[in-house]
Amino acid sequence: MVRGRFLFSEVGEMAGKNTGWLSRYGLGLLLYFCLSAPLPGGDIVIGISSPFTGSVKANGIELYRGSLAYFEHVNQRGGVHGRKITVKALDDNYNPLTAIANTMQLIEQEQVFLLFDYMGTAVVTRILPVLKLFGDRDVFLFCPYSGGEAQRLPPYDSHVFNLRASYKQETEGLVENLLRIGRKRIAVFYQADAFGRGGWEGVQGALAKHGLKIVAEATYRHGTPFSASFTPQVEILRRGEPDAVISIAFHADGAGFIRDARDAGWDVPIANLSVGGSAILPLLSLEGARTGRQNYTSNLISSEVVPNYEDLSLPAVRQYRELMDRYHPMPPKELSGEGYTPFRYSHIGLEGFLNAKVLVEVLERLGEPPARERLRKVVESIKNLDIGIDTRVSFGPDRHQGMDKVYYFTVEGERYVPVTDWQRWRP
Amino acid sequence: MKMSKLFRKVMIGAVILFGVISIATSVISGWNLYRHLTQEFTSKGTAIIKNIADSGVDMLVNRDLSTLQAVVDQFAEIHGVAYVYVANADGEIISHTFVPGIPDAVRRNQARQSQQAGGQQMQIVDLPVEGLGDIEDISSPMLAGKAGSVHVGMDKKVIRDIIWTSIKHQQIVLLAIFLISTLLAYMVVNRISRPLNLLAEHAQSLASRDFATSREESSDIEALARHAEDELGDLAKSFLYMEETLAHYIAHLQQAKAEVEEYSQKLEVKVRERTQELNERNEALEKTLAQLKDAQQQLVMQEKMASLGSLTAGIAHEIKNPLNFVNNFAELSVNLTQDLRADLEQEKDRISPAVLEDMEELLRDLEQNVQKINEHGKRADSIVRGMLLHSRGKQGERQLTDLNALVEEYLNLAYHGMRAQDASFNVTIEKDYDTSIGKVNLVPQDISRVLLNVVNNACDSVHEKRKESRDAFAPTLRVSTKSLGDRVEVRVWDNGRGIPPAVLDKVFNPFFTTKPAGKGTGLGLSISYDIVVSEHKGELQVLSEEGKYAEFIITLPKNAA
Repeated sequence: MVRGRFLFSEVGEMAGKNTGWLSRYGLGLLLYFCLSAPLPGGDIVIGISSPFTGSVKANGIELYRGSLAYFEHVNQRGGVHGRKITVKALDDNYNPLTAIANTMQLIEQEQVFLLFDYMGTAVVTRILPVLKLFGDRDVFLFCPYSGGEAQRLPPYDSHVFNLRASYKQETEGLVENLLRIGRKRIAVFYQADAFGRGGWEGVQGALAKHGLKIVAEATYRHGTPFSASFTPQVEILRRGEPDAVISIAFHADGAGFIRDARDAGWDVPIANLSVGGSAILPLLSLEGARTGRQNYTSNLISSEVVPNYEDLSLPAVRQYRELMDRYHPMPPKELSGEGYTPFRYSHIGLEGFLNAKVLVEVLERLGEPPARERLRKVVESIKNLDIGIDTRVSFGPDRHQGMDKVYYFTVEGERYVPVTDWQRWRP
Repeated sequence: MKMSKLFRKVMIGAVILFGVISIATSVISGWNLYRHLTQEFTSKGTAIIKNIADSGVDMLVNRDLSTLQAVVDQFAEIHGVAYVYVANADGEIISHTFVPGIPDAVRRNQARQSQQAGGQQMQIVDLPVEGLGDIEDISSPMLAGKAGSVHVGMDKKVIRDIIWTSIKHQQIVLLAIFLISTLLAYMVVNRISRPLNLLAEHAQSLASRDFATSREESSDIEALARHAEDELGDLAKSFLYMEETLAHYIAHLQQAKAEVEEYSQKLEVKVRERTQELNERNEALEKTLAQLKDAQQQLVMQEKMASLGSLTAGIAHEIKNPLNFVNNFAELSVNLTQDLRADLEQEKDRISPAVLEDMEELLRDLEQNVQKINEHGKRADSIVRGMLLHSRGKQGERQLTDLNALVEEYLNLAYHGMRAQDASFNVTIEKDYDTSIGKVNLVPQDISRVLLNVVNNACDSVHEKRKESRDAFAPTLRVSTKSLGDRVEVRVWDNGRGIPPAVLDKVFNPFFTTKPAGKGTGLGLSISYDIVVSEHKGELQVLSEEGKYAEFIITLPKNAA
């Protein structure tokens, strides 16, 4: 691996000077490909590009911490076939261009074995062409934190193995449940980018099946802080007189929107996607305590793609909590800096944990020596894998998404609890 | 130094020209820039549209809106692009970059365009959008409209900003060039025009005879005359010579003028002084004359009074004795007639009734005649006594007297006297005594006589007037005393018949009276005048307007010798 890199970079340097560079470059390329696979006994290097800074860093960090807890656990037990799993993480600040550069760096310079735990549809959508570019090198992206359709549809689906259910499934689930209880006028609050558009598309498609349309839509720009006013959006949506709002937003923006809607006296049920999720709750509780208002957390619904992290009946949840408490994994300081207070447990952390669990299973099945060209076959052969939760993981040649289950939560007494009865929101 | 007029004219022309040029260039370059930039913008927008239309078709067909959105977002970041959106074949907006929502103007435009039959062509529409400003909406169908359409909104404000910035830069450069040119022009023009300007100004100040200024400027001109060896130098020399000569003459003239002015001023003062003296003297003479006339009048009056006095005294003495006889015998005769009547009464039986009646009638006539003689004799006697009193030589005893009390006493006396004579008499008396006058040194018997006279006259006057005018008249008498320092004044005013102007200066003459015959002696005021003026060295004045009022003013010194 070291040698291969040396040769490649040497050739790259010579390329501009030597007139006979073509033959040498070709030779170098050939050598590089032969030597690109990890050498026996070396670590398996996992590449992660994620927002460790910026407005959604909590998502990036918690996902990373969940995964790291399990890798740590595996490494403590001796690794996979004797190889330690090491993580090379880069910060992309949720910026697609940085993410593209990071991906190139991870693939070309860091020589990572695979890409893992990418964060956000806006980012994932943009790095897909990079994966396709390196497609003949079998560079796969595993378990991105995104429910976007792009990596689930041709032509990019073959380069990605998703674990979580898609936004389409989340939004369809929400829409179906809302329609069932008679809430037919649905409005959408969404982030003005590929992520928001994916969720919007999910809602639109689900409604179209019933011959319905989105009654109102409003957007926000990514990076809008919680302190900003979302009143314009509240007013736009309110004009459409919806009886439910689906919020496709990161937690800060989702929480800001809910705050301003409730401040405006609008008590409509607001449903959040997994991305907003449980992290909205502490923000709103804090804001409620600050302003003395009680209704911020009422009438909230969230869809999640992993089970309740407080459901101790599930072995994976118990293990997650145990390993988090044992290892206290922290993000790389050089990326995120000081001053971040991590969550003890979270949905997103559990998702990172499950991602890692599936990945380790894949690596176990890949055997020794780990060869990337066999990865696709190994993953596609996984069927009904039990990872300790209430659903099984299955992949296949036409199925690059391990799970389909969507969970629904609400807030009761400042606690995040599974929805047991949708009828309570019947109008 | 003032700016040369020539230069000022040139400057104004240049500024106007510069204004015209800068406006013209701004308009032309602004217009050119606008055209070119608009074209550029349109072609930029068109390129973006084509790009999205080409690459987006796949995603639309795949229903991968996330990736489409990623592409759309990328293009929306290009400078000048206000928004990008993609509509599906039904005209519904399925991907866009609007935050917080799709503006109504865009929705309306989209609805209009999707209904148009010819929506197959690229369209460019000027669209004012709320919150975004003026937008040029460029749209193109995808797959001939079967897949939908792409819209790009180009922000026209960017064009305007560029135009204004470049016009600003252009104007700054132009202005700088203009200022430098002006400065250069100023320097050049100044070198030529300054000496001319100097001479012109100097000539002007000479024309206005402002020699003080011209002295200061002369030094500049002298320098010019000394240093400039051209026509300007010659001109300056001639100028200086002319100035000197002029100054010389003008100085002479001014001196002469000053002298003349001085003389005339002195003359005027002297004339004024003389006139003043003459006037003063004139006034003094007039005053003296008036005093002389007064003295003469008084002398005449006193003379008249004196002669009248002695005359009347003589007459009175001569008449007094025979009058005594008349009176005494008249009285005796009255008694005799009574005795005769008593006798006749005793003897009436013896006399025939016809004789008796005749006798009684005769007796009655006799009796009446004797009574009349007696009555008129007494009257004559009282006149004579008055005359004697008036003309008697000796003066009464002076003593310090309360004038107010005296006035009050005699006022009452007069009033009641009048009432006693005629019960119908009535008058309102207003009194105003000055209590500060104190005691006055006078002869009380005499002054009381004066007061009685004056007040009686006033009462008569108002009574007469009342009788003439019946009830419409309210008779009023006003009596006042007043201290005038070392003098006191007593005023007796009435609103009676007044005194005709013709007789006003005769009222103090003896035997002058306006009263009906037998009622006044004509001596009252004459005696009063004598008492006040001669005896007390005071004054007695009368003011009157006929038919309205009469006022007597008695002025007495407080401590006459």
